Amino acid sequence: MVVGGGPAGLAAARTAARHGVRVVLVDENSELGGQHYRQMPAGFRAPERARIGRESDEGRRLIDEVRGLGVEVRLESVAWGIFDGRVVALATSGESSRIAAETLILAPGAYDRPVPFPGWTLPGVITASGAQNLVKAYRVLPGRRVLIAGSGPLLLAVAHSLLAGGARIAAICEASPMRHLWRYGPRLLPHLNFVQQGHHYRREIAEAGVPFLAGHVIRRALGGAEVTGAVVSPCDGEWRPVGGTELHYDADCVVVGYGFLSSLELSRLAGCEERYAAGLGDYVPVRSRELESTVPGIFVVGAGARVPGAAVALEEGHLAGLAVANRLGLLTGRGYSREASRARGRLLHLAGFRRVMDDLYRFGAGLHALADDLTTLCRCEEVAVSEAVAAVRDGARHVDEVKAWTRIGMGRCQGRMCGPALAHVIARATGGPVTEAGVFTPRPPVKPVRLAALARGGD
Amino acid sequence: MVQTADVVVIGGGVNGVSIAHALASRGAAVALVEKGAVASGASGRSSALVRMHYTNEWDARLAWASFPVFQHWRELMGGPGVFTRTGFVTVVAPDYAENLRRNVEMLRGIGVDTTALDRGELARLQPFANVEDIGAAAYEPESGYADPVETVEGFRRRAAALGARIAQWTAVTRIDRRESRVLGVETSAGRIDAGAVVIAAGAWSARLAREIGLHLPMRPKAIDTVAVARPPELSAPHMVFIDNVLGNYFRPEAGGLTLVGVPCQEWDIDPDGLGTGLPPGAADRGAELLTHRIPAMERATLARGYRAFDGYSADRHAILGGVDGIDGLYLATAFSGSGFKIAPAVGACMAELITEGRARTVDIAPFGLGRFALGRSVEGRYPYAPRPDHVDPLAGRTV
Repeated sequence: MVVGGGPAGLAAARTAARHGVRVVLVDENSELGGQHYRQMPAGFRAPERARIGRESDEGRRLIDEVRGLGVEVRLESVAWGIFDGRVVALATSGESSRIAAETLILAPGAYDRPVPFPGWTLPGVITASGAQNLVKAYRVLPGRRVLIAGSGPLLLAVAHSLLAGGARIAAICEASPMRHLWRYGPRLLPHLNFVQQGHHYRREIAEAGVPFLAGHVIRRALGGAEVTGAVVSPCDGEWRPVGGTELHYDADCVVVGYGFLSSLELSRLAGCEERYAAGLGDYVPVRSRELESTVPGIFVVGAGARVPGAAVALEEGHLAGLAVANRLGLLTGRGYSREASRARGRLLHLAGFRRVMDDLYRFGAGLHALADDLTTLCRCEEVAVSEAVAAVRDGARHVDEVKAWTRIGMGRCQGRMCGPALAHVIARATGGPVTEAGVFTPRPPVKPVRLAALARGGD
Repeated sequence: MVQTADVVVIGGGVNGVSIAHALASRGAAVALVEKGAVASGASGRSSALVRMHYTNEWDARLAWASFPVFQHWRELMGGPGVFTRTGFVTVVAPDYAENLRRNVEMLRGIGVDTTALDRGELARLQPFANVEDIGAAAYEPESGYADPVETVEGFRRRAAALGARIAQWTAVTRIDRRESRVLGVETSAGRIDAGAVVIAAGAWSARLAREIGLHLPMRPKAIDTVAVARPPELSAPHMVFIDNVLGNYFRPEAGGLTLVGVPCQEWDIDPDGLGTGLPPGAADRGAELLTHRIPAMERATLARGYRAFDGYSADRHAILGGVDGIDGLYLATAFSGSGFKIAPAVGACMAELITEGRARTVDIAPFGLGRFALGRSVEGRYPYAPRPDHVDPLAGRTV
C-alpha cells in the first residue's frame, strides 16, 4: 500500500506494480500528481499557450502509466490513522475502511513551514505553494501586486508563474545571504540543468525589474481587514532580523515560503524513529539503505522524508518500490541488486545538488524571533505567543504541556501549523535546545474525517 | 530536609487542588504533592460536564453545592471564568421514563432548577435531535460545562496565594504508616511530616494504598473521547447531552467542536504507560452514537481523539472520608469518571471533615469506604439502564 500520489508515491507504485506487486495507491486529493504534478481539475480547460510549466505533462504520463499497470487507485481517501503496526484507517466522504498492508510506503509529501510574524493571519497573506497552486491548477492570480518573502528556489518558481500570469511583483526577499555563490561552482557543474533553470528564472525576474533582496526577511504584514503591504528588513546568517533599515512595500498579496516541513504524522503515529536536522529545521525519519524506517515494513520516501525536489522523490519512490518487490520475492538476486544500485547511484548524484541547496538555503532559527508577544501562534484556537511564554514561565517544558495549559495545537490542523513554531518559542523562553521541547504526541485522526464515513465503517 | 505540614494532599487533579484550596482557606498548613504537572492525569482530559442530574441524592447534593462556584468563578476565585452555560438534557429509554420523573422530583426537592420533558418537548428544545427512541428527558437550563485545566489552575493559584505549598514534579514514594496512624509521606524531594494525609491520586490511588496494606475496591479504566467539528448548519452550540439510551454523552466545545464520550471497556490499565491515542474502532463507534442522536452530524468531521483514564470503584461512585483503623488517613478518590463537577464541594467537605471532624456542606458519610464491606451502595432507588462501559466485564470477581 502506498500513501500519497505525488512523484514519490507514483514512482513507488509504478515500480512495485511493474514487478507484480498488488498495489493500492491512496491519495486525499481528487487527482493524482500531488503538488508537483498538480493537474488542472476535471472540467477546467486552458488554451495551450496559457499552460505554465512542463511538469503537468510529465505527471500525466506517469499517472497514465500507473493506472495502466492495474494499480488500485483510491482518490479522495484520507489515511487518518495507523493502528497495530500496519493497519491503515482510510476514509472518503462517505465511507471508512481499514486496510492491513503487508508493506507500507509512506509518501505523504510536505507542507510550507508556518512562520508566525505580526500580520501572518491577515487575509491576503498566503503560502508559496498555495500561490503556486492557484496559478498552476486554477489559473488564478492571488493578487495584482505581490510581495514574495521566504527562502529557497520555490520563490523563483512562484515569481516566474506570477509574472507569466500577469501579476506585478513588488520584491522578492530571500532570507539566505546568497553570497559566495562561486564557491559552489564545481559542485554544481554536474547539475547544469537545474542551475540553468534557476538562472533562467533569475534573468526573467531581473528583466521584469523586480528587486531581489538576498539576506532579507519579512518583519510584518500591514493592513486591517486585508493585507495592504509589508515591511522587510535585513537579517543575519541565522535569519534573525537586524535593526535599522526597514523597507515598506505596498502589496495586495504577500506570499510567504520559508521552506517545507515533512508531513510526518503517519510515520510518527506508526512509531518510526526520527532525528532533528538543525540545518533543515525539521525532523527527518531514520531510514535504512532501502529507505525502510525503523518500523519493519514501513518505508518513507519523497518530500515526506525531507528530500526536496521531484527528481529525488521519483528515484526514492522507485528504490522503495524495488525493495518491496524484493521483500515479497518478486525481484531477487542479481536483478534486484543491479536495479537497486543503479537507483542508488542516481540518488547519490542528486544528493550532491541537494547538499548544495541545503547549504545555500540553510534554515535559520532566527526566523522564529519574528513573532512578538501579541502575534497569534495557534490559528485554530487563536492563542497568542505570550500565552505560550507564560506557560513556560509556569514550568511547562514540552509542547504537550503547553498544549494542555493553553490549548495551542488542539485545533483542526492537529498542531501541524503551530507545533514547530511552538517548539521554537519554548526553546527561546527556556534557553534550551528546540529538540527538548519535543513534538506533539501524534494521535489519530492525523487529518479530519467525516463522521458519516466513520458511522458507516466497513466493520 | 524534613518539612512539616498539617495536611499532605497526594495528587494535583481537580479534587486534590480543591481540597488543598479549601484547607488553606481554613488556615491549615497544606502541602500538595503531584508527581507530574497539575491536571496532567484524568482532570486535564476531562470533558468537565457541570450538571446536577444524578440518580442518587448524595452525588446530586455535591454537584448542587459545587454549582455556584463554577457559575461565579471569577468573583470567588479570581482569574478568567471557567463555566460555559449551554443547558443540559439527559435522555432515557421509555422503560425508564418513570424513574427519570421521580429523580427530577428528588432534584427539585434539593433545589435544582430542572424539569422533566416528554419526547415532543425535547424535540422543540433541540429540533436537530432524533427523539424516536427516547421516553423522557430531564432538562437543566442553567447547566453546561467548564474548562477543566483552567479550573485546576485556578484552584492551584488560589491555594498557593493562601499559603499552600504545591509541589509539582514531585512523587510520593511512600506513605508513612505506623500501626494505627499516618505520620507523613516520603517524596522524591524529601520527607514531609504531617498529621493527616489525603489520597486524591485518582487512578494511582489503589497502588499507593496497597503499599500501606489498605485495599481499595477500585480499578483504573481507560476513557475515550473524540472531538468533531460541527457542520455549518449546526454551528450554534447544542446543549450538553447525557444519552442513557445509547450510554454516552456529548457536549459542545469552543471553536465549533463537539466532544463525544465513547464507551470504553479497557480495565486495569497502567496509568503511567497508557498511550493517549484512540484505539481502532473508537472513532467509528463515537460517530455511530452521535449521528444516531443528531443525524445532521453526518456532515461533521472528526477533528481529534484522545484517551484518558480514571479510577472506578466497585459501585461507580466516589470513595470519600476517613479510614477506620488508620487515624489521619483520608480518601478522596475513585470518582469513576464523574468527579469533576463535584470537586468544589468535595474540597469543602474534606476540609471540614479533616479540621472539624465532620462534613457540613454535604453529608458525605454514604461515600465512606466502609460501605463496600456492608454491601451498601450510593446508588438511588430509581436507576437507569447501566452504561455499557460501567458493567464489569469480570462480574463476580471481587475488585
